[in-house]
Amino acid sequence: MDLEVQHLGDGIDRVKLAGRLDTAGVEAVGARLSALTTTQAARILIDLSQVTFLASIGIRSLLTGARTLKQRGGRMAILSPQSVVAEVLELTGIATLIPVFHDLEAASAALKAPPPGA
Amino acid sequence: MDIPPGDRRTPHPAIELGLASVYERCRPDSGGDVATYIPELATVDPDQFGIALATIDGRLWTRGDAEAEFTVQSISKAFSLCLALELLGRDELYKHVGVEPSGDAFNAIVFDPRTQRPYNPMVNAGAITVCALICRAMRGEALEFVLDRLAKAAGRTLRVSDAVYRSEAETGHRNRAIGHLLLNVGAAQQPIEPTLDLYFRLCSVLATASDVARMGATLANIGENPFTGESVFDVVAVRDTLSVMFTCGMYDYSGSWALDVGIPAKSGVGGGVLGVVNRQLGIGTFSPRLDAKGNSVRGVKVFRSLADEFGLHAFECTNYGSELVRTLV
Repeated sequence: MDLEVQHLGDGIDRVKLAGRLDTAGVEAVGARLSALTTTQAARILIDLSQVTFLASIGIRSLLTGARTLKQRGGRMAILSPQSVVAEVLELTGIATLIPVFHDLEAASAALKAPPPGA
Repeated sequence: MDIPPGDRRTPHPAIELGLASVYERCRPDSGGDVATYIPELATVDPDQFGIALATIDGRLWTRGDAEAEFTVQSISKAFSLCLALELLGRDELYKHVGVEPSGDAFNAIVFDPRTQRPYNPMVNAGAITVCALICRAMRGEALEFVLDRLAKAAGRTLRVSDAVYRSEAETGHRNRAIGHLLLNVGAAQQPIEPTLDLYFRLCSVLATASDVARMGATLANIGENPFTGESVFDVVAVRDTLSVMFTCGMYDYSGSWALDVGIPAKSGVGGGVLGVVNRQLGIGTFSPRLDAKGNSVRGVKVFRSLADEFGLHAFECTNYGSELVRTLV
């Protein structure tokens, strides 16, 4: 599992994951992912376009990150999951907790918008 | 009885890859020791390791020594309970055995001090009581009755290992002592010998990880074998059985199991573990080396990994509770 961070401007970081986000995948990138979500009130776009499988432990890791970010005034969104991963996010109800987008522009706009109730 | 036609490996990359990764992750662990208190169990090859996963649409995936036979030992307790519930009904059954986790070892000679009943049907004392009740209901046909249902759940005839049975019967002094104490508190009735014989024989039933997975899938499928379509267990009895497996199935590791894995399961000192994901999966693992609590070391590790991989835990963030409520709110 690979993790690459790209600064998009406007305080948004695109975190591009590649491979299987399973037990081994979380072992490989979990600490870096956690550091990205706990050290700053960041706006993080998790790019799942190169993720071929999302295991339960991977979902837990993303959800934990999203919650931590929210508590620190940041936000997380998911970008371009492959159809099998998108289906998992939908059926498990995670898509209602972390918004999922299929194009970069819409995702960036959503992350830039003030949080609901702000 | 032949392996049913539905019982075949169907390619599914996500499950294949997940299973392969869990198998490779757990295989190097050679911790623990094989059970020796039943002398015949000490003769098994300790390195054997198999995983099988059966779905309720009748598909089976395996890895490693999934077709190696081992004695089911305490895994039989789950099925005995299910059948006793069907024969006697819950009210009568629970007069004789409780459903509370004991926190004691599997072979403890301890009864609930308030009720004088064994704590639950998953420890030896409770399972011997269940056998006494099956014997009372079925008389001389008890063994045939249970073996027939086990075969229907597995989808093939299962035989009793004579060598292990003899070894259990000759050295099972502690279980005999439990039997006599059950007579003393009125939880079992004379003659106790057929009850103990049924108990020893059911512990000595030979099955493979694939069999155990199919038997688990039968429980997961509300009592109907998804490979044969045959109705095997009573619907209400299955619900109770899974509940007791969830709270008491892993001996005095049951609480930690609920935290770490979060599905109904039953282990046996033969190295097998049965797991059930309600309405979805039956899981069977086999690896003979046991931890101090009598559970297969690799088996526990496999289940923890499968839970992480496939989101099996009842309270995993990916799981909904009642699907019925989901339609309402």
